[in-house]
This record gives sequence, C-alpha cells and structure tokens, in this order.
Amino acid sequence: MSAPCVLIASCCDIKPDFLVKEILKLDDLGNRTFILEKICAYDWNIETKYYNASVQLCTTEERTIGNASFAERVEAFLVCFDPHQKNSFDSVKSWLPYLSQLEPEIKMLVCDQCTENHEVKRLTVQEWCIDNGFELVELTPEEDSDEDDDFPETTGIKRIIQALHAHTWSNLTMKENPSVCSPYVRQLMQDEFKAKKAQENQKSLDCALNPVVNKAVCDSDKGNQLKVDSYSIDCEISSGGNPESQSESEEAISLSRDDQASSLDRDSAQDCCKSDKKNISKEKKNEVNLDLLHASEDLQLFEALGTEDPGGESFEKLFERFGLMNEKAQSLPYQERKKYAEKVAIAFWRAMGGDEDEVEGLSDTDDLDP
Amino acid sequence: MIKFLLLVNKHGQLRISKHYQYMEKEDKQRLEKELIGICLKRGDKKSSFLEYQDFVLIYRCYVDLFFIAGVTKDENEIAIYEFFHLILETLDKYFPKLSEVDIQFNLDKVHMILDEMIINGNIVETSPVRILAPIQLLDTAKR
Repeated sequence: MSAPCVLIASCCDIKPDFLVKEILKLDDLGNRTFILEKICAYDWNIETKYYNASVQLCTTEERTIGNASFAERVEAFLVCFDPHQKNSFDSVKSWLPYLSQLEPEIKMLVCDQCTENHEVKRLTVQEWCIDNGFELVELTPEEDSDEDDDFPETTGIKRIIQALHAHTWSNLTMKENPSVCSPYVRQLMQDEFKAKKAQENQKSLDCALNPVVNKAVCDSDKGNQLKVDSYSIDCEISSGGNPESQSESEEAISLSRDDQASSLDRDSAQDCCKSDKKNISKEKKNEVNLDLLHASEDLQLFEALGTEDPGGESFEKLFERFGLMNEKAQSLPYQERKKYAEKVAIAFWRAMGGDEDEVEGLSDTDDLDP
Repeated sequence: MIKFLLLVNKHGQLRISKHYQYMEKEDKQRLEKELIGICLKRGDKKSSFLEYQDFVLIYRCYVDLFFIAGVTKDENEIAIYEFFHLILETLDKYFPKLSEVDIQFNLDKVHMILDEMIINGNIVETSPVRILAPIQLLDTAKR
C-alpha cells in the first residue's frame, strides 16, 4: 500500500468526512477502513485528460503525522476552520509543526465563507495562507457581482478537486494518447475522412458512367483495395476534362493494365510505380499528377494568403488543405514526394511574404509547365 | 519591453517562467518568489500595476492562474494587461476548456505559443490564428 494520500483534517464543525463525500460525489461513504489508529482511508481514482492516478483520501480527527511511512505518502493536506472562532484558526496554526514533517505539496485551508466582518478577518487569513503556502478555499463564497467574466473563478469543492488534479501525483500513469489535438486538427481529421469518402464515391460513380476508360480501374479495384489512392488520381484526371491529360491518363491506365497482365502478383500501386521507374510514360503520368495537384487549388490558396486578410480565414483553409496534400504526397514515389514537399514549402514561404532571395534557384514554377 | 513573464497558480507554484533579460539564477529565484508573494497578497481587487525596483509589475488573475510580467517603464501597461488576455485566449483556443493541468502537461506547447508571441521581450504577433499556425502544422505532421 503505497498510494499517495490526501490528508483531511478539521478544526471546526465541518467534518472531514463531509469533504470526502463531496470529492467522491457520494452520499454514503460505506465501508471505512482504518489504515492507522484514527486515520481513515477512502480510495479515490483520479482521471484527467492526461493521467490516471489512484490516491487515498485520509481523514483524521486529531493532529497527527501517523507514522513514518504514512507521512511519506501524504502529498496534499486539507484543513477546515471556522472564521467565526479565533481558536479554530489557532488550532489550524498548531498544525504547522506537523506539516513541516509531512511536507505536503498542496495545502488548502477550507472554510464556509470568510469576510472582513468575521472574528478572524479575511485579510489576516489570506496573508497567513500566502506566507505558509496555503490556498484559501471558500465553500460558499460571497457572490462576485461586479463582473461578467469570461473566465469566472472556480470556487468551493470544484476548486479543491481542480487543485488536486493539478498535482503531479507520485504514482500517476500518463495516458497513451492524450486527446490534446486542437479543435482545428480535429476538424481537419473529420474533413479528411469526409473527403476520402467523397473521393471513393466519386470513383465508383466514374466507373459506372464511363466503363471504357475506367475499366482497368474497376477491375483492379475489385482485386485490391490498396490501389485506391493512386487510381483515384487517374479518375481525377479523367474527370478533370482537360483533353491532354485525359489522353495521358488513358495511356497510363492502359499501360497499367498491360503491366497487370505481365505481373499478376503485384501488391500495390506504389510498388508498380517503383518497379516502372524506367518507364517514361509512367513518369510522365506522375508529373501530370504533381502539377495537377498544384495547379488546382493549393497554389491559388497560397497566393491568396500572401495578399489578403489579416483575419486569417484562408489560414484555416490552408490547414485543411495540408492534410489532403499530405495524403496525396503519400501516394507518390519517393523522388516525387520530395519534389512535392519542396514546392509546398516554397509556396508557403512566398505566401508568408518571405524574402524571394531565399528561394531563388529552387525549382518551383519552372517545373509547373510541362 | 517585457523583462519577464511568469505564470503562477494560486498556490504560488510557478508553472511557466520566461525571462528576456539575463539574470543570475539565484537572483531570478529570489525575485520570482518575492513577486509571487506580492501578487498573491494583493489579489485581484487592487490595481494590477505597480512600480517595483527599476521596472513596472503588471499582473492579472484568471481563475486559478496568475499572469505576472515585469516591463520597462516605457512600456504601455494597459497593452500588456490586455496582452495577458490574448495569451489566455490563444491558449484557450488551442486547449479547449483550458485548465492548469493542460499547461502542466504541455509545457512545450505553451512555450512554443509564447515564443510565437514574444521575441526578445517584444510582442511580435497578436493574431491567435497565426500564432497557432506553426504548432498546428507540427501537430498535422505528427499524425
């Protein structure tokens, strides 16, 4: 038993059990286990965005440090007091020598409400708290009327839980994949998923409408799902309406059909690209793809970025695009991918208003016109 | 210019500390401790600006986090005060439902965000979208 502990004590009418109930959100605490004489423990599993930890909430009726091993385990300390009674505050003070032994990292002084009118004045309490590393938490604080705050202060039991969450517990286990991705990225993932779906639908539509051109696509598609990516680019070309690229894509497709005949056990379209490196028309096809990707929207977007809006709408669009570009690049062979990355980087540089000298001599637009 | 920027929780624990002017380590720690004490004691009811030694201290309290900055006397205090809000909004945009735990477990990201906003003690970028752009680019790449 070496779980870290939160020690809860009280110097007034608020019972430590009450805080435990509030923290655990239970009406009834059920079985209480005494881990030491007069120290009661309740298990608490903490789960946050980033970690899990199981700690024990320990209550005690009197001032104690338990024993050496218990003192080691105490990482947080809560104590209740009543600002109406001076001796209540004094008994909180007499915890200090014990705390110097326990050395909890989190120390909180809990009371119902603390104002300047009470016997123990708020200011006194607050100064004592700061001097001794405590945080004052009021369970039912005075209403703050003067502001409609965007970020209202958390108070009461919520604040206690929040502060306990923000402690680095000695036995915490980090979660594997904390869901920290920003709203943009989440949106982007969704869009990408949709785009993929749409692309697949489009492809099957093309197959149905234009059986001759896309016969090869459909045939191979039945055999292997992995080919989807590269072939859908072919579809993109043929549906693009550009007569030149269309004829080229037809050529490419008929070519890939020939290849299919010659080597039956080919696994993916990527492989076919690699193995056909020497094949000129094949390379030409990739070249077309590359330019098409740019010529379509990406470059326009980059250009738009350079000229317009400080509001940054197009930046959001850009980030949506990045996901797609990345995906397209995945389907290209290594050399082409490098080229593509270079182009994106240059375009991005220009869009950011970067110095032209920096990118001079790098291939960009000159490659664009075949 | 901004001499330093601190993010402190209500316990007085330092979460983020960025200095834009060289200072000995011991001096730094002593100063930080002193300033945290001052700000926590003053709370959010008193003026957020005060002169301290040779600089102006500006602080603002949000929920359970204190933003504290020391700036030279020629700096615009209100601008810095609002700049705190911008930092908060930017963080809030990146981490939905920002809380102290987010900062604690993403120190790298918070530093990156601050580095996008402040260079050498000068505010260089104020558009949250642009501040977050490079970080999101990295996130996209990591995927």
